[in-house]
Amino acid sequence: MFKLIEIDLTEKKINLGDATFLHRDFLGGLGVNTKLLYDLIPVGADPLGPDNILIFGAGTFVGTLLPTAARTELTAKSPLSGRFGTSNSGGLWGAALKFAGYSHIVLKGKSTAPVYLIIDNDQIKIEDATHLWGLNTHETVDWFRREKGKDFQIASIGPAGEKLVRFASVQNNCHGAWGRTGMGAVMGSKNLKAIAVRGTGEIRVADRRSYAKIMTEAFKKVINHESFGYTRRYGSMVVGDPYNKIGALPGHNFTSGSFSDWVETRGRKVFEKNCKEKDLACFSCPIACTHWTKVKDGEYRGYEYKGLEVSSLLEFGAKLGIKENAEMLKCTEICNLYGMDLISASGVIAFAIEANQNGLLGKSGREVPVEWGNYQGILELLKSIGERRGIGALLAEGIKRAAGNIPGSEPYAMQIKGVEMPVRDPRGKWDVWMLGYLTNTRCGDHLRTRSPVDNVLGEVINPFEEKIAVPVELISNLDMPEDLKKEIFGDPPSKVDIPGMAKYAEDLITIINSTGLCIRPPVHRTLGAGFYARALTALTGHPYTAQEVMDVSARIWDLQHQFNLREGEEIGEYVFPDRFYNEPLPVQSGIKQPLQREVIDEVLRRYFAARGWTFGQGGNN
Amino acid sequence: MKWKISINEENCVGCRICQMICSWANGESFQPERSHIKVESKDLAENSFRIEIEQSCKGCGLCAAYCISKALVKERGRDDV
Repeated sequence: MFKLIEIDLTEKKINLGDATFLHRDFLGGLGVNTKLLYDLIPVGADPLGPDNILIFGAGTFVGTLLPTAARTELTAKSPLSGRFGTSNSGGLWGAALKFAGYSHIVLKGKSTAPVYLIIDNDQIKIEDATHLWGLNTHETVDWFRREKGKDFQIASIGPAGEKLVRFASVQNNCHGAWGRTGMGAVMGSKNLKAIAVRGTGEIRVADRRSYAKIMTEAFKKVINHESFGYTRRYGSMVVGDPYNKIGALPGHNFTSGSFSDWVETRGRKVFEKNCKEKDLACFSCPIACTHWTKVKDGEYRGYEYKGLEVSSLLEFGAKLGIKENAEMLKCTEICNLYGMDLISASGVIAFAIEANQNGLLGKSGREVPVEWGNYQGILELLKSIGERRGIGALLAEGIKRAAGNIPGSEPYAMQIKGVEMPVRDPRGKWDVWMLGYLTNTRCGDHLRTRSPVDNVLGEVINPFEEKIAVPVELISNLDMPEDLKKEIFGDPPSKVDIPGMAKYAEDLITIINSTGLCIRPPVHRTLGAGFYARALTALTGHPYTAQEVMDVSARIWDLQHQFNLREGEEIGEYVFPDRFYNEPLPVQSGIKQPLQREVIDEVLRRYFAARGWTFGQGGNN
Repeated sequence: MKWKISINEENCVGCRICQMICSWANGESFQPERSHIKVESKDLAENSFRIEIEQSCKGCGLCAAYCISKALVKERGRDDV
């Protein structure tokens, strides 16, 4: 039922393989990617060398009508962290791959000259891409649509990927991206410009009656959930204002947790009123949480682009201090054109600005703004990074390497395990989500540990426990093993155990990223292993149990962790930058206290215990 | 009952759920290519869509029933026309 395409770019060989058993053992999508990466990459391989493997894995349900089943995971050893690298994107690309007849593409080796891959149902070819090298991603998509057909979906790299910017993205058509951990640099290192896919085939379901029932159940849940309305209306922008309220913004490189003028300048209602033109959706998604912007008023009146997303808002708007939505969108557009992760790009610029404020950049300081919110300076610096020009060449290496080359700059380097730290300040609020910044296997990131009961405005009892900030019925209705529920929430439910919930949340997100649904709608995190077991059984005909799905997801996470250990991960890397332990955080309501190192270490110790790992050895399971 | 479906392209968000439910209900599998309705982006921006209901449409109305965005709306029974 599942087929993979294996491509050796050195030898220009194409092989097809059966991936049915890989799906059985590792669910699909991210799970299968994890197993392949672990098995195929030699230990210590250069992430930008021919031994690295780049794997596209469309989730198991992609190409069916489970709501939001559109997501594809892209995995390789990260050139940014040297550890497990992975990124997730929706749109139409994954569904096209499925309708062409494949779930996964495994890319090995390195082409001597630029090439692209074209998959037109069962016709798979490696073609010369010399004439495409140097084009930005919009130009690349345009070329494919004109020359090959308007129904091709395009994954491509831009100049940043070609120039091996360590946080280069792979763009998904024009506006989507596999953004984090530098997958575009890996693609660039293989001299692979693009993968164009057209699929017109069919996807059959083993048990139609059961699948129809499950689809109806899932649709009803999504549409009737209280989050449906605001998720469509604001999309991810919904959380910007609450972050400001609790003082958890990453303002000015994590030196300001909130802004007095945030709501009037960068609030979600300002966006809705002056920018939002219409809603847009990924394949099979009824929620349509993304937006098309057409600026209604002011200096940028008439400017159009896709967005705004909360990552752009919090990175360009808070971390770099830009106040105009249109300017944040223009920064996003530059990142998309060059093919760069906007979170890492924004992070490394914030680092450079603060280093410059402290006089550490010497002559190169002329290329870097001194003040926050300098839109023109930031825009030019983004381009310099995408082209590896001037100081951009150093910043293209990411914060960790750049800081290693600028004496005295370490205090401004906001990265965890080599990956730029995104969107939230742990001093603003410590919770399951923030623990995930330390524990998630793709290093400094925020999207792999999302609790099914998270509420940004909820309170914390102590560093080990959150207050329950959702209706108790939601907890009793959670699709989650009852004994685990009691362990995490207490009996009767009275708290959320942070280390225990972090493990559960990571395992749940792993299931979602393996099966190809979207982690964004809050309702999806209320579905659990029981739902996924029924849906997988109906789709594939293989009888999954809820316990089996839970066990497999934990095994996938363990394998990612094992990959990192094999690459040299040590327990000392599970830390935030010093700023978070040493400096109080100014917010509008006063001061948020720094984290206590020994307390965070104890939370981690309990998390390791929940995983069954040995603390102090980086884990050994 | 056979339904007449009215099309409001400006409301379309591009999810292709209409094509998916059509192929599922009127065939044996998911296959947008074989659905009786076609949705395609008008240009590179992928923010506006062309929708066409083909002559082969049986008027089951499921596409409209699943279209939360009201790009497709069941108007009245085709039998009544």
